This record gives sequence, C-alpha cells and structure tokens, in this order.
Amino acid sequence: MTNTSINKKRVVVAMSGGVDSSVAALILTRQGYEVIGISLKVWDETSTVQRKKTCCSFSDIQDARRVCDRLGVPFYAFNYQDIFKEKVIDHFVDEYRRGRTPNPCILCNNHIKFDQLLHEAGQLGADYLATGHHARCLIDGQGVAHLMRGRDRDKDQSYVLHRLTQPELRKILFPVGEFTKDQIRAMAREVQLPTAQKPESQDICFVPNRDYAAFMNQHYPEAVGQPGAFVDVHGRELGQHRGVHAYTIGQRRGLGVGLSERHYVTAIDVANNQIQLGSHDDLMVDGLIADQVSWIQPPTADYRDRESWDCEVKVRYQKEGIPATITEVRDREVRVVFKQRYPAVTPGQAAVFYQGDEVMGGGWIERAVRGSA
Amino acid sequence: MHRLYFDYNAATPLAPACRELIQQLSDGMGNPSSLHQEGRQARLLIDGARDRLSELLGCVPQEITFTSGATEANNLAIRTLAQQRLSGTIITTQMEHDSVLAPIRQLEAEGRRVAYVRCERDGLDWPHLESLMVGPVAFVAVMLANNETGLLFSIPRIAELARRQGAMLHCDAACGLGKMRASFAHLGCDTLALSGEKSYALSGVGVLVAGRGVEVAQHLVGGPQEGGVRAGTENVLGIVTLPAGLSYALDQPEAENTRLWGLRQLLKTGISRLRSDAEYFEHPNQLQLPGTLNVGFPRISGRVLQARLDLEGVATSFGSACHSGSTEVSRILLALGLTKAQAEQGLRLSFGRMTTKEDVEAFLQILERVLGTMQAND
Repeated sequence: MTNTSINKKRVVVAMSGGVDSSVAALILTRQGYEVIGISLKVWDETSTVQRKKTCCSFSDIQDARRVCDRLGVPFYAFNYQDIFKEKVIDHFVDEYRRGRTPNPCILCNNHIKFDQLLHEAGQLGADYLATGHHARCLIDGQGVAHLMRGRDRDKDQSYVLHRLTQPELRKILFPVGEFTKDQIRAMAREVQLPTAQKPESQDICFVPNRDYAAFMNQHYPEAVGQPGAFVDVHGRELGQHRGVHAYTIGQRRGLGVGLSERHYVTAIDVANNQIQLGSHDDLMVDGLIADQVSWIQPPTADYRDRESWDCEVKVRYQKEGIPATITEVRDREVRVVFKQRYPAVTPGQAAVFYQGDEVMGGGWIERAVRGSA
Repeated sequence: MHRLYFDYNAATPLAPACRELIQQLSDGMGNPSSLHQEGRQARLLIDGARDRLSELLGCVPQEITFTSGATEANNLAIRTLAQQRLSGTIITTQMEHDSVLAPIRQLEAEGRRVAYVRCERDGLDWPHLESLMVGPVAFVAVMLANNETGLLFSIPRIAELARRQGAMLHCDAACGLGKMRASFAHLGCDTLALSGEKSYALSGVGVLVAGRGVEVAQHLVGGPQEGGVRAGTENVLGIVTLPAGLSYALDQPEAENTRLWGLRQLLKTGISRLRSDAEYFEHPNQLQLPGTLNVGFPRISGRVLQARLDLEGVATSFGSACHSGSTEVSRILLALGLTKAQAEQGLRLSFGRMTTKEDVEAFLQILERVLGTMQAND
C-alpha cells in the first residue's frame, strides 16, 4: 500500500479539502508515487464572527482525510496558525492600513506552502511537494524549470505562483495543470472521491464572505482606518469615507456618495486620510512600477543593454495579461509601460510577467505610472 | 510492515485474556435485564466482573458504576461532587485531562469559584495547594498520573488535606491505574475514574468508583441499570474485559516496574547517544511512571518527527488534538512551564507490558536513520 521501496518516490500533497488537490493526490497514486496527504490548519475559524456557520476549515480537513482514506494513503493535519499569522495575516492587515490591496494567497504560497511546508516535506523524506494548483511546471533538458499557465486558461493559477524560485520549482509537482476543470471533476467522480462535487471556494481562507473590513474590525481594530474625506481630482470634498482600509483602487460600488456620474476610487492618500474619486478616464494609467521583483526566467543577458523587454503583464488575478514592455530601473525594480492605457492598477497587488504561456517572474506593484511620471 | 507501538498512553494493546474472552463471547449474549436464561447468563458476567474489579481496585462492588469510558466517569464525578457540595471553591490543576477540565470550566461559567494549583516538572506545588485550601472548599480534582509526562501525584496526601478542610476528592486514574497498583481505599479519594482502553481492555467502557459517602448524581434516566443512576443496556463484552485487562496490567507490579525502568534507561541512553542535546521533559528525580518518556530534539519539530516516524512504522504521539483535527502543542507541557519552542519539540513515547527490549532497539535504529536525514529547522 504505502511501503517505501527503492524506486517509489515519496510526494507530499498539500490537501485543501477541495477537488483539485484531491485529484492531484489521485493522479500521483496512479503514477506510482508514495503519496502522503497533508492539510494545513492556518486559521482558528471558531474565532470568526459567524460562529454558527459550518466551519469550512474543520470540514475541509475532514474532507481531505476522507479522500486520503479512500486513496489508501497516510494523512496528517499540521497546525500552521502561528506562522500563518506572522507571515500572511499580519502583512495582509498592514497593507490595508497603508492603503494598499494585498494578495495573501501569494504570501501563503511563498512563505507557508513553498517555504515551510516544502521544508517539512523534505523532513518527511519526500522528494516532491505537490498541490492542486492549476499550473504546469516543466523541466527542460538543462534541468531548468519553467512555470507555465495551466491548460485551462480560465482556471489558470500561475499568477499566485510567480515568486517560486528555480530550486523550489524542481521539487514541486502540479499534477492537475494538464487538465480542464471538467476533466478533473470527471476523474474524481470516476473513483467516487468524497469531494468530487464539492463547490469551489472563492474566499480568502481566513476571511469569510470576503468581508475583510469586518475581519479587521473584529481582529485588528487598531488597524482600522478613521473616517475621512472623499475628494475629486481637484481636491474638492465629495463626502465621507469609512476608513482607507475599506477601499481599493478601481472600486465603484459601496462608496455611499450620491453623485450624478459614475465614480471610481482613483487614489488612496493615507497621509491625509483622503480617498480620491474620479471618472473612468481618470482611472487610466500608462504603466506601473513594480519592486521586489523575483525571476523564474531572468531576462536575457542583453536586457540591460536593450533597456526594454516585451511581455504580457497581469496586474491582478485575471485571465489575460496586458501587452507591455518592461525596463529595469534598478536591481529588483522594474518600470512597466503598457502598450495601451489601462484602467486601474492597484498598489499591493502583484505584477506578473508572461511570455506566451510561461511565467518569467513578477513583483509587487508599488505605484501606477501616468504619462512619463 | 511490522510496526512498533509506542503510544500506550493513548491506548494499550488487548491483554491475551481479553482476546480469549472476546472469542468465547463472540456469539453474543442476551440482555442482562431479560428474565430468561440468556439474560441471566449475561447478568452473571457483569456481576462477576464487578466483583473481580472491586477486589482489584480495593473497593466494594456497590461502589462501582460502569460507564462508556473515563470521560463519562469524570463528567459524572464532577457533576456529582458539585451537587453534593453546592458551595465552596473547586480546586484542580491544569494537568488534568479535558474530560475533567471541561466540566469544571462549565461550573466556573455557571458562577462556581475555581482555583488551579500550580504544577512544575517535579510535581504539584504543595505550598500553593495549601494556600488554596483555606475557607470553604467544595472538592479537589487531581489525576493519579499525567498522560503526557507520566508525572505522579500523591493522592493520599491530597486526600488528607482535603479531609481536613471537609472537601471531597476526585481522582482521574485512567492513565495511572493501568500501570500501577493502587487501592481505592488507600488512595482516600471519594470518586475515581478509569477506562478500558488504558487498562489492556476494550475501549468504550470505563468505571466510576464512588465511595460510600457519595450520592452519585442522576446521570442517564430510562432504566434500572447501575442502580438507576446510569440507565442503558450494559456493554457486557467491554465490562467483562475490564478485570481481565486490569489484572494483566497489575500482575507482579514490582517486577514489571523494574523491567520498565530498564527499558526506559535503554531508550534514554540510546537517544542521548544519537543526540547528546536531547531534552527529557520528566520528573528530575524520576518520580513518575517509567513507561512515559517525553523527549525533545532541539530545532526539530515534534509534530514533523511524529509524522515521519509514523511513515517509517513507529507509532508515537505529539501534542494535543484540537477540535478541528490538527494537533496543537501539548498544553500540559506549556502548563509545566516549558517554552513554546520546547513544547513544539516534545515527542511522547509511551510503552508497557508488551514492549520488549528488541522493540526499543528497533526503534532506536529507525530513530537514528530518521534523525540523520532530518535537517534542523532554521
């Protein structure tokens, strides 16, 4: 069943309790790996506001356990609450406090799954760590790893994986990246996996109903912003906002200002506690500055000489990237210039650079660029 | 793969006599409350078990109530003593099992005053306990032996203190009684709990012993069983294995004690040879159960080590299971004053009657291989 033999390689599969990671484990057992399922408990759901609601975390761990029982592989649930708070939640809150919009899933991948868990997988004697992410990782003839979009562009999750490094990618498997969602569900149904019909969760795992303002009110009240003024592009006051933490660039709904035209959040000024509203046209930007750039495929040697480099850039978790050229400003900081103006770029999100299906790397959006600023 | 089992404190293997009993009774039996021959035979089995148990436990048969386990017995005992002593402080320790602490916390939420005696690696803080035993004390609840570290508590001494104060005493003996001889009369407590799966008997069965002065609270209604206090058709098979398991556990206790200390020393010597900086979370003067060894390897996660050992065929234990099914560091180790970092390393090895020298040597070989390939956490 799961006896270690010389030829059988051991893989830890990170089990979320969802159908993708369940099928990832299924595929790997079929391929002859010695699979170990591990679920991570990252958040104490009993502390969230809606106590009566079915705690998805608890039943997710049970779902993952049942899948492993069905597959006949060992299962462990590791408590990662402390490190998750330190590396993901605290940073998440801090970003909102600074008027930025964070992407905690990227941080979780970076620090939790592909850092701590990858390390512990090695300690468990595993050769690889696998997840249910919809992406592909191919190793070429020279042993260089290439991170690619998943086959199903609608479900591609390569965006949140862009900070992985070469040494990490060589130890990671993405078994479901080759399949469409329909094929994945069909595989699960075929062997009657308990999670075959389970609906996908769109939530951030520690923020129920994506109500991050309520989350902060309950758990980090000291980080909740004070009410302040909405202003237009000329600085005229338009109304009151609830606190900078509750808004994101490009936001149109929930502003609570009765204005004749449609207004969008165009800028968040933490220093003056003001939020700028503008028209759709005011949202348009020419590019962005990204910092802390991490490369999977560094630009070619003559990159600096050529000064710019063509690619598509995703500025949020979206299906298609924006055609752009990127130029290095200084080490680990790049300027991205869109080929055409684009509405809304949000500081705190990731800018991820693609060439075709391949992820070259990415960084954090520091600020938007308008004109030649 | 032949597995090595070092988790006796969670569950003991079945005593050989229990296996035989299960086989003998594998045809099933009648309902002990039925009026026909099959029912009477079942009733006889329970009566016999109760009699034998009372001899083993140093009490009288009437003092025994069969339950579904120590959790139920602890719950019933706490509620019983709380009803019999409606006012006064309730005193306990943070070392207790959840099935003792949870009902006590419920009482606290209902307005009862509760105090927790400090404990350290060398046991109960006696001056602290004495300082708490002033004014009206309702009852004290202290375990016989701690399941995480094997620490022993001197129940007779606590009983003496309690008696002086007019307080009652409950002793959760689930961990201790399957490993050491102790007589209910000698312990001096008013109530005592034990469970089958820690006494080489079947799981799902346990005992509440309640002394003559105790009015056991009405627990389950709807039948005359167990003196009307705990209604429900009896778990005859489970009950019958209890005295068989316990007598196996308590056979020649001095010789077994010596043997277990020998195994413990073998383990510690072997472990320390692999890692000279291994830390043992134990009583400094070895005043504890020999078969419980809690060890930490600096910079190695106990949680990961437990999983790795399981994959390599060794059953051990780490931490306390939390409600969602993942493990948290042992709150007992934290209550003893260990740092979080130490508690995160703590791996519990617990062994007993069927553990052999060969098992220990095989374990050490696997541990050597595993530690050799596990890198320290940064």
